[in-house]
Amino acid sequence: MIVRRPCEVPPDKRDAIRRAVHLEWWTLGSLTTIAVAMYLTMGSSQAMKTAWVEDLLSMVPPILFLVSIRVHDERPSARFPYGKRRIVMIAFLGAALALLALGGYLLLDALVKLAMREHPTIGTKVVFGHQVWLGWLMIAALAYSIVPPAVLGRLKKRPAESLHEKTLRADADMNKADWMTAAAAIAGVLGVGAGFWWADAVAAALISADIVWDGVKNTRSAVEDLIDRRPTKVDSAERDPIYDRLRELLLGLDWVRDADLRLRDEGHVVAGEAYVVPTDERDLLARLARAESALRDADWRVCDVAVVPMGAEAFAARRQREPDEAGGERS
Amino acid sequence: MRPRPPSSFLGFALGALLLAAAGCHPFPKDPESSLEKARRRGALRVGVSEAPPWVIRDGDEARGVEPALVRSFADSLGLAVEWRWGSVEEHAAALEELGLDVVAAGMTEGNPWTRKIGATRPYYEERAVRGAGGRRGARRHVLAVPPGENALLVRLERHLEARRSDVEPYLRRRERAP
Repeated sequence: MIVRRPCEVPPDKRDAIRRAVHLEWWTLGSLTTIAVAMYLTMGSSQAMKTAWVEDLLSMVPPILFLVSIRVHDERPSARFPYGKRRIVMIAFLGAALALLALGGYLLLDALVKLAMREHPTIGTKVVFGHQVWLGWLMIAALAYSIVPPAVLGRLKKRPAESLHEKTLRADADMNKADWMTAAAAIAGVLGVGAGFWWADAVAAALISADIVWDGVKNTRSAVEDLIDRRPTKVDSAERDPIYDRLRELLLGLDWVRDADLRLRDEGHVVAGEAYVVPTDERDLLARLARAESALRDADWRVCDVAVVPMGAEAFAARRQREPDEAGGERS
Repeated sequence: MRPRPPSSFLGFALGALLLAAAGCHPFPKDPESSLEKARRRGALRVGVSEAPPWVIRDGDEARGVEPALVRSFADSLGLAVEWRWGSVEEHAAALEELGLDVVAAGMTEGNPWTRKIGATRPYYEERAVRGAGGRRGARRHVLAVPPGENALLVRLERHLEARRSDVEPYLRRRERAP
């Protein structure tokens, strides 16, 4: 078995990974404290169960990220000749499904409450000798639970971009879902206090529809990545500019008449084949090897792109372009 | 990266805040105005089920720990009390349909009805296991109001909290008497 050459991750990206790992540990820690605060204020209510399920599901993306980051850089072996890079994509799928499940659960829960005309009962609790309406305590706990995910989610976006780390990006969406649900719940508790029994459920339903939509987008993206869609940007289905850059690089070689690539995302990195139509076959082996290392040097995310020579006819026959792609045949 | 302000949500949050501020005076409010209606009626409709020593039947009158608490609660509101005898199941159903204002039936926290009704916070904790039955730990005694009638609930819970210290002596007196 010829195993893949290990991908080299540049030092600044290693730093970004370390930062992301820290962020995810902080996320897990803060989720734990939020779960405790919720537990202490919600008593025996159904709302506590919902908050608990939400917390549990929010822990899924950070855990998946931490596991995948531990495994993904293992050296390729005879048993895993491509290495284990793709675990990152599996983690992304898991995180996306957790987000979808969270949204679905919250939406269903809210709709059932509305359909059953469930009137939320919020009594009192004695804190330091004072008997307070539990609603105020819930609002305090919810306000606290807004802060960590709002901050952490924002902090995750930059390393997610720079690492091309979609699990982290999905986790940032999860954080957004968390703090928005908490904000909605505050509005809901205030509404219930003002005498509108449906306020809590309606607020939750509005937010959970948004979460479901994020979950659908992420799950769809993760599945498409696993069926080897061409590389995309971290937060959209748009073509990753790395493709155009690599093609430009190949077209710039003086012995290349035409060139194109077939690429896929493999987590952080891209892999695939580059097809070149050479002007002549002189010194071809050395030229191909040089082209391959030029591609690798162009971007840290180029992990394993084989450069394959191809006849002009076959090249033309198999080539397909996206509508927005510039440039046809090389003149 | 994704400019998508959740404007529907912000609007809702603002609206809820305004509503809360507008209706701030008695906070929380009853969605179905139970307290308000009881005041207009001049009487508290109380479902009672026999559960000595918590609720004791004496003809159509009710005695025991819970009726005493409920009566003093009604007094504090200037209301008369209408006792309605029946099973806990009947009372739970009546609460849901707002046919009763309070139920006193010797219930404890975590009883099968608490999800359907508005249970108060415990007004008394029985520390030792009273009687057999193998149930360990404290039995926390509660009353109930219609689900989600939070103004009535908060009012009742404040009263129960104020009378918390009356329960223990009452029970001891009863144990000594035959």
